Amino acid sequence: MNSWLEITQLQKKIDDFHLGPINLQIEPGTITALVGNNGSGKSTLLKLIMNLANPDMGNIKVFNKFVYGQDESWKDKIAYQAQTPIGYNPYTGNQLKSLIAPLYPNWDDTLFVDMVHSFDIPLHKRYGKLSQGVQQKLNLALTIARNTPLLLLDEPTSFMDIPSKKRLVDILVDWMDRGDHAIIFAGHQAEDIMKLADYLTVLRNGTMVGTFEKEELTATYMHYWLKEPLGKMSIPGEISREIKQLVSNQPAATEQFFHENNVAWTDRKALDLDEIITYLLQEGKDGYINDGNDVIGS
Amino acid sequence: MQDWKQALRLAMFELHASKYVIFFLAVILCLALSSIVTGFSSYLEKNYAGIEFTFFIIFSAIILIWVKPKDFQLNQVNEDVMASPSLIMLHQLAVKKDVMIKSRFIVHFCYSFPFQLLFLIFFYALSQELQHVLPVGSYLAFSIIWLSFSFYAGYFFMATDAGTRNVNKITAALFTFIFAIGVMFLSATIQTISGHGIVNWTIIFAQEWPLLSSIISVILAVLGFSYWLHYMRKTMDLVDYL
Repeated sequence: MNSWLEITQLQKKIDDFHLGPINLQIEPGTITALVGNNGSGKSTLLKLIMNLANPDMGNIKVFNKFVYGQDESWKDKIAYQAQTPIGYNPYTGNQLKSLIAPLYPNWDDTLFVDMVHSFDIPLHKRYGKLSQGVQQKLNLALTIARNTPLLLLDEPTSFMDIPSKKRLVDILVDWMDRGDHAIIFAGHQAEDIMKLADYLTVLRNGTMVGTFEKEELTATYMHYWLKEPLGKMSIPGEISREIKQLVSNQPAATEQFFHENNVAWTDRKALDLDEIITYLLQEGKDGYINDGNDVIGS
Repeated sequence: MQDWKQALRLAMFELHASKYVIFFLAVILCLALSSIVTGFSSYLEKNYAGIEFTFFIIFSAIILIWVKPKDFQLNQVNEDVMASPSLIMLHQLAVKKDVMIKSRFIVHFCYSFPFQLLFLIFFYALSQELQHVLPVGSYLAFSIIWLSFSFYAGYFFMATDAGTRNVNKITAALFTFIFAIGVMFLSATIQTISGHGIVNWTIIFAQEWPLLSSIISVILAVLGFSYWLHYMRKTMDLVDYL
């Protein structure tokens, strides 16, 4: 299947910060979460995809077109919601809609109206006068309603209240069901929206830790409670240990070791996603090496 | 043509939202006309470098930097770069770079050209000395010289919309001061060396060689304008809007 987005060996240096190399492919019907600590390069990566900056090395293709090429037709097929939109302040929601909607041939006005009602967005007020939360809701309505195949959302729920976050999740689920779409969003591990993700692409201080299938990842990390302290023995898969507790990202190998060495455990529990991400973001504790060939949706 | 139509549609949003600029431009027009009309006979009689600064201010359109509402002034994109918020907004939408550039041109043109044209019309209508020095045909050439200048010099400020070095307010004020001093120094130097100020020279060109000076001015305007469009495109390709 053809990738809608193909990133190859992408690198970008900004002062002391170095992003990449990033290798990523996005295919239809997938939702990918870009996860990383603050300043890990999530927003920069989305801006590079939108050709708002030039990579130092590597290539980005959207619908088989280089984003920095002369052919800019790819722009019709991708909608980007910036974390902090620039230039929106002097316009009302109505004006922004009139400006943006005609640029996108598949603009979904019903969805836009639905989101406006659902989030109670005042379209007659200037964007700059709205609260951050309402600005974010309006921005999302203006972005999702573009109804492009590929949707990029940068921290889409950072200022939203809990009911609105849940409503957004529903909207995105419906939207994904209504045709060939793919979403990439940058977010924090504790967000509700993370539940939507099929894949997690983890960035740690600009370095790509890897792209993981979410279900596979949640089945991989196991927390064990042991009868006795472990002492100094080295355990396969171990990524964290307290006196009588252990976290492993290779549960089969760990349990085999327990069996062979008569280590008794009283309980085990799969880790929550946000705990797993926390481990992935802690340098040296992930146990994964990016092989540079992360394919999503294949 | 389709690109121009789209560029016009996009420009209209900014023009509509910043329409109060017209009020400030009208005030500046009145102030500029009152000073220049009253001082023009003295300028011609005493032949000193006096009204050049007003001409530079009006035809370089530098004034637009200050009269635009804050939301449309150059905004800090990152530590190094300032750019037009409108351009950054369009950059994130399904708008081609050429359309963005055309849109910036339309906005700049709509604010600068009518203002400059009205200045020239009222200057001629209100100054009998000017009517005496330049008949209508020659004044047309004089107008073409200065309107062309607004293209090859003034569109520099449009080009900065794509991104320019980020400077703080003190540095910006310093640059403005240096610009003012530079214009006055240039005017005084030309006046001293050649015996006439720059405006006076353009009057002489319009009197003596109206057709030639008009043609050369239009050629310069086309070349200069093309250069600024190219410069803007190149800047957009190079700048990181991060």
